[in-house]
Amino acid sequence: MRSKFILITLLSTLFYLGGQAEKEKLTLILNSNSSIEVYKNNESSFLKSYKGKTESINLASPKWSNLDKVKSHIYDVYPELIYCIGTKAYLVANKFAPERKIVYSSTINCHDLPQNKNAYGIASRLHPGMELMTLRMLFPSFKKIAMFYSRKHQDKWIDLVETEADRQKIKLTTFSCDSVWGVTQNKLKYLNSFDALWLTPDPGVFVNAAKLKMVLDYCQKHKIPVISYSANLLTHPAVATSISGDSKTLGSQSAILVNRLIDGQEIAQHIFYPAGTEIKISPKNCKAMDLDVDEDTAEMVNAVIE
Amino acid sequence: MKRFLKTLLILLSFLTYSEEQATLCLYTPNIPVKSFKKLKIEYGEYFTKQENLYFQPFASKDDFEKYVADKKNFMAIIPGCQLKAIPSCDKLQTLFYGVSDKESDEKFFIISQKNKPLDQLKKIHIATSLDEQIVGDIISRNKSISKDVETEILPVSKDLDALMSLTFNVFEVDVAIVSEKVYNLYSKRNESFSAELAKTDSGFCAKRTIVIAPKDCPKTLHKKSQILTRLNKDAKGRDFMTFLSLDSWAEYKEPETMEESNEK
Repeated sequence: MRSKFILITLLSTLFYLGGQAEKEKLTLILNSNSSIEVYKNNESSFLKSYKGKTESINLASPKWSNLDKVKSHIYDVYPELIYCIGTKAYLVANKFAPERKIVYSSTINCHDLPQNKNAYGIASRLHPGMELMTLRMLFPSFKKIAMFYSRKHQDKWIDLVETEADRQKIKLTTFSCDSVWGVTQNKLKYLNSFDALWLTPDPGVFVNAAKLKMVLDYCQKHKIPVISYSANLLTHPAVATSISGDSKTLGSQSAILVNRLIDGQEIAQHIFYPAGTEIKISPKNCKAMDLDVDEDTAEMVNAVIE
Repeated sequence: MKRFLKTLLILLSFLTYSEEQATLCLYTPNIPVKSFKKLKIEYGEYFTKQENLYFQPFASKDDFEKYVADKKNFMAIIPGCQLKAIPSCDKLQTLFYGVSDKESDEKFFIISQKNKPLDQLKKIHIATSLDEQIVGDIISRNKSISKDVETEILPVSKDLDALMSLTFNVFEVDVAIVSEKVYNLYSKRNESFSAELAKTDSGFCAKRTIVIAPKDCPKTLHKKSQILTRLNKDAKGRDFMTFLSLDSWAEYKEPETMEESNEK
C-alpha cells in the first residue's frame, strides 16, 4: 500500500514537472547594446507585453565580450526561442543556434541579413504607404518628392513605394544610383524641381558619409527639405523631419510574434512592417527650408527637436 | 490613552504631509514636447511660486506610474482614457476635467475594414492606444462581435498608427480602436482610404484631459489644486493652457462614475 502511494506521488510529481517544463519554454533575449535607447525601449516594451520565461544577455557588457562564452551559454540554456535586438544580436544567434526559432527587431536593412527559415522579424523600415501618408498629413504642400535608390538594395521595395505614391496621388520620382560611387554630383541638379527629398538608408546610394553630406549640403543650399529615416540627421539644417519605426511598438510586436511561435502557431510571413511610427521634427529647420507644418496633425509628432 | 494616540497619529500624519511638497504631475502622451527638461524649467518656477507645487512632467507612462505609486500628496494631469490603466485607479479621484471649444468628452470608435465585417472575424488583431482592460470591456459589450472571439491586442502609442496599420494591413491588424477626434482628422485627410473603413461606436467615452489626485490626499492639496482654475488670469498660466490645448478647467462632480461615463 505504502509503495503504491510513493509510486503515485512520484509519478504525479514527474507529470507535474514535465508539465511545468512544457509551460516554461525559455526565450533568450540577446540585446546588441542595452545602453542604446532604441534597443533599451525595444527590450522594456517586449518584457512588458511578453509574460513567458525570459533571460537577457547584453552583448555590449564586458561579461559577454567573449562570444565563445555567449555560444556556450546558448547551448547550456538551449532556449526555445532567441529574441534578437539589433543586427549584432541576430548575427550571433544565427551563427550559434540557427536551428532554434529566432525573432528579431531593430536590425539594419533586414533584407540584407543572412537568411534563415527559422527567423521571423519586424523590419526597421515602415510600410511605404504609412510613411507617405504621414508625410502628406504633416506637409500637405508636398506634391513632388524625389528619392535616390540602388537596385541592389531596394529593388522590391521601390516597386511598392511607387505603387503607394500613385495610390496617394504623390508624384514620386525615383533616381537609381547603381554605380560603385553611389549618388554623384551630377544627379543632384535633378532635385531642384522637387518639393522634398525622401532619404532612405541605402548603402548603394550613400556609399560613405561624405556622399550623405554632399546631398544634404546641396539641399540646404537650394532649400529642398529633406525627410530622413533617422533622427540623428536632424542636426543638419536641411533635414526637416525624421520618420522611423517606433521602438516601443517594435518590442510589443516582437512579443506577439514570440507568443505565437512559442504557442506553436504556423506563421507564413517571415518579415513584418512596424505598426508604430516615431516622428521627430525640427521647427527651426522647417523654417529655414520655408516649410509649413500642418498644425492639426501636430499630435502625430513624437518629439520636437530644437 | 486611546485619545492621546489618536491625536499623536493625526499630528504625525500632519507633520509628514507638511514636510512633503505637493507635486503636480503631467503625463500627456498626445502632446509633443520639445524637451521635458525645458518644460520643467519653464513652468516649474511658476507653480512653485504660485502654490509651492513641485512640477514634474513625464515622457513615459511607466515612470509616471512608478512615481505616483506610493505618493499621497500629488495631483496629475492625464488623458481621461488613461485613468483606468493606472494600477491604483481605485484609490484615485478626478478633481477637474479640461474643456476645449466647449467640449470635454472623447468618444472612441471601433474601426474595421468594410470587406472584413466584425461579425465574421474569429480572431481579432486589435491595434489601439487604450488600456487592455478597457479594450476587453469594449469587445465584450459589442453586439456585432461574437462572444467566443479570440483577441490579440497590439499596443500602439498613437491612434493614427492604429488607423494606418489597419489601412495598410500591417501586422495583420484588422481592427483599430481610436478616438473620434483622430478618426475624423484621418477621414478628412485620407478620404479614399477611409471610404474602405467601417466605423462602429465602441460605447466607451472618456474625458479628454483630467486632473486626478489620491482619494486620501491631504486637504491642503484641494486648495492648491484651485491654481488650475486661475491659470487663465496671467500670461504664464495662459501659456500653459495653450500648451495643453485647453480653454478652461471644470470641476468634476460625483457621482459620475467611470462606468456611467462609459455608457454615454
